[in-house]
Amino acid sequence: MSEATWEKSTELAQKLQGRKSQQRWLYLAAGLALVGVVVFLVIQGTILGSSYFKTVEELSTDASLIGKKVRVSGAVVQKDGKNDVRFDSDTNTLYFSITHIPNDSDEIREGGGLGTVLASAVAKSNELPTIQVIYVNREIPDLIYSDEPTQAIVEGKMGEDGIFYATSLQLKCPTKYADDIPEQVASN
Amino acid sequence: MIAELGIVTTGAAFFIAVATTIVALYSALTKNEVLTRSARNMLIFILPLLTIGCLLLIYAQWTGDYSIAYVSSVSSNTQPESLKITALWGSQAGSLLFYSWMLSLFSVAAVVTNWKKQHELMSWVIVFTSGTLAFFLLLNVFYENPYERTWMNPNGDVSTIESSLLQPEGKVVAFPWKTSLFDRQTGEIQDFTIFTTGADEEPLITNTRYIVRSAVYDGNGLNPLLRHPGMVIHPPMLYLGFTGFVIPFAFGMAALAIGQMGATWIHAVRRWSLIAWMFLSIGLVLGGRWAYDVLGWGGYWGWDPVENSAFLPWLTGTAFLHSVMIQEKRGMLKGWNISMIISTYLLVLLGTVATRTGLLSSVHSFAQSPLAIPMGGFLALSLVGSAGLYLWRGNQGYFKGDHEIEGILSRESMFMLNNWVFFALTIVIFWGTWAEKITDFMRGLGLRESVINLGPEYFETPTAILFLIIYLLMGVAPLVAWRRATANRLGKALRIPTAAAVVTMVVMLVFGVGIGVVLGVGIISFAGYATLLEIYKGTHARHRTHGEPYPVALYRLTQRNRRRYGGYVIHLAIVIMGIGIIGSSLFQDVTQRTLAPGQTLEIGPYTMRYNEVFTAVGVDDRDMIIADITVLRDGKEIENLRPRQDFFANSSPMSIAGVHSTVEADFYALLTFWNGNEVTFRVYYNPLVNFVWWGSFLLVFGTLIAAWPDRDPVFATQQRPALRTAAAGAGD
Repeated sequence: MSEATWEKSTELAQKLQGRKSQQRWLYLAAGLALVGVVVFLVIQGTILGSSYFKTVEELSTDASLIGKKVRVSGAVVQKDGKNDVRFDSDTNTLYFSITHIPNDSDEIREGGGLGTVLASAVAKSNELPTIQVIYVNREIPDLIYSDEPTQAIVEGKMGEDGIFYATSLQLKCPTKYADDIPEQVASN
Repeated sequence: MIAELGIVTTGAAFFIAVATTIVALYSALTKNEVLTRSARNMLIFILPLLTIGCLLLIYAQWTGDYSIAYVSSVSSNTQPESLKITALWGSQAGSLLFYSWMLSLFSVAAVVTNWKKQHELMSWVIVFTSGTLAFFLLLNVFYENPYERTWMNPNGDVSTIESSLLQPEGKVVAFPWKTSLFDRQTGEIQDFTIFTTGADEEPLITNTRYIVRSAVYDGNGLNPLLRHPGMVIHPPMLYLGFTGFVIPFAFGMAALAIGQMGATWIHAVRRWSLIAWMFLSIGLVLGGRWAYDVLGWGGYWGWDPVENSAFLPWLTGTAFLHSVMIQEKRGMLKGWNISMIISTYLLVLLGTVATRTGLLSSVHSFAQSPLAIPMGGFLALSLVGSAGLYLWRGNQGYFKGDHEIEGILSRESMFMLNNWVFFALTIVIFWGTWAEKITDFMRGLGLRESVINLGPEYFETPTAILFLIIYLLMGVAPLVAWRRATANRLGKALRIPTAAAVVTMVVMLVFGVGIGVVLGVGIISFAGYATLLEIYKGTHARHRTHGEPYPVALYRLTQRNRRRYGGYVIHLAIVIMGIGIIGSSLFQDVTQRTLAPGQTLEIGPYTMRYNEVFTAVGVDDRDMIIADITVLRDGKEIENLRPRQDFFANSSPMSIAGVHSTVEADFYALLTFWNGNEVTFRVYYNPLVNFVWWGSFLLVFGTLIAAWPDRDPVFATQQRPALRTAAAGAGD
């Protein structure tokens, strides 16, 4: 055991002192290297992995967004009280449209919450900016066949043809989980 | 009656918790022993109150007291009995009460068991536990009270319906009736919930447009997505983990408050932290298992904000479990350990905030709720309070270590490095999770123009790299001696595991596996070989010196040094899970095809034949579309599976996969679309996915070994000096 045979000579103390400052440098270097790697990875990941949150309105009016990776949230357009969705089983393609809803959480709150905002967007979908979405060969969330107003958050790129090519699709159906008092039919 | 009792018991629990915090704080500042004891008794008294509160709610769910809004939202007449009980944590308000109950149970247990041993810490421990409890009860009583009821005018006027905790003037309790109406004008049948003034008073429809087909006094029942065994156990496990970490935090803060930065507080909470960590791990794995079974996307981890929110305290908690060992052995890293447990506590609170307020966009979050402001406030208060106390003591020099790190190549520095990497992981995942909120906030201040959102791709590379560094350390660190190691000796110890890992990599390369994967599996398997070798060396030494057969030697060795060998078992579990994660994420195969009856598709080594599609109605009135498929391998029929989609009257549909599971891989088929007899299937081949689940069993086993209470404390202390020399002799 080397620890057991230590001699406390001044020479050794000096050597230890030298080793300590050397060690401090090594630690600093290791720490900086780790921080550097992490910062690099985070920045690179943020650039590659991030998508800009846009509204349907921004996406349909701003031509500079064509071909850029964006994330857009909208209400799924309905027909006859159901989400208007078509699935082509030969090509594994899902077709639907989304209509404009605000992006800002404060605006949504002022509009009476997500459920109300979605319902009014669905009702006025022929007046509001709307884009068609194509979603090829991916898992299809069960909620897409819902008959309640549904929020779709799609990620992908806007094509030159004005169609949004989605690579991910996330759905939210706020009224499904709301604990509010259910609507009651007039009984009087 | 039940609702009133519930309101009174939980309300009383809240006021007592506030009073306890004040009394404990006063007793801590004045060092008044009598008041400390009063605070303890008050804290203990909260537990039966909350127990009654929980039992009352369970009773209401069991008997179907649907006038309580919460009960109606999570229970129904047809719901299986077991789910009528577990509905206690089926939604926001009830689960918050359950959470408070657990916290109260843990606080009482921690205070009672440490009352004598850690007496000087006790008044402060009560301050921090009852303060946290008071906060959760505040939410429970004033924001999300599970005993809220629905009220209406006695004349049955629907426009007067409101929900409220206390009886509004001139109104009576309203009872929900599930009513099916026939609409004469459209010829359609529609379902409604109609409130009446009595549980035996059927709704009276005077509008001649409708005919009542049926009316039953009933609740909505639990969200069908949550009627899964994984979802029944997952929340309590996660809460046990979350609330469990409050205890080490309280002890750490107490030690900080009285300025005793030695290892005594760490001894007191070592097992607590381990057990809390184990429950958090189980909670995370079960959440993944639930997603795999129910959410129908073939995966178990999607870097979803809510998943991440539970993962973040796990990372800092794991760092803490490692770094406390240095303080126990060498009296170092005193400040770092405190900062890790503070971070864990804050991340637990943040995770709770994120899950419960809908602050982060996620598939898991509860609906938007009014909790954001009080929760954010408490989080800010905790952050400022703990950081202030930390900096104050730090400035006074309380964190100075008993030793300094002697060698760059030492167990201490390996642990340090491990903690840095865990902390780096925490920061990477934290940014990925909160980037959307942070950039949204900056946009609000006019600092940014757009909001960014980071998807799963952001997380993959940085976390993979950092985790591989952790695996590397996992293999090397246990072989490095305390204080100072020599490169020469370490190199010798590393020879065998390195050689084994290289052989593994060469074999994989021969089979044509890509270089990235080979490197990943190589590093992970290196950690596994090194751990196995350590266990073998210890067992072999004992076998030689004591002449015991290998199994006995292993058992005795573990018994003597449970923490160390329990830790090795956990490391092996993490190795197995790592291999499962690499296999199932990098070698996953997926195909989506539309088939007519009799047609087949191929995936991996399997062939799938589609036989027929039919509909059925489940016991809880769910409509099911069921496809019958046969899985074949090498032309032989292996198993018949029935992937299906379930539809519910008042909830979203749900896909249940048909899974054929083997050691090697899962065959996982989803029914995604059907048109007449033609069905579109999405089929996954998930290699090694079961390693993830099996690894988690081993992880629990390892934690239990490490945390098992000492059988005989006297014996243990007598043995300790002898053990230390023995361990040093073995090159520890």
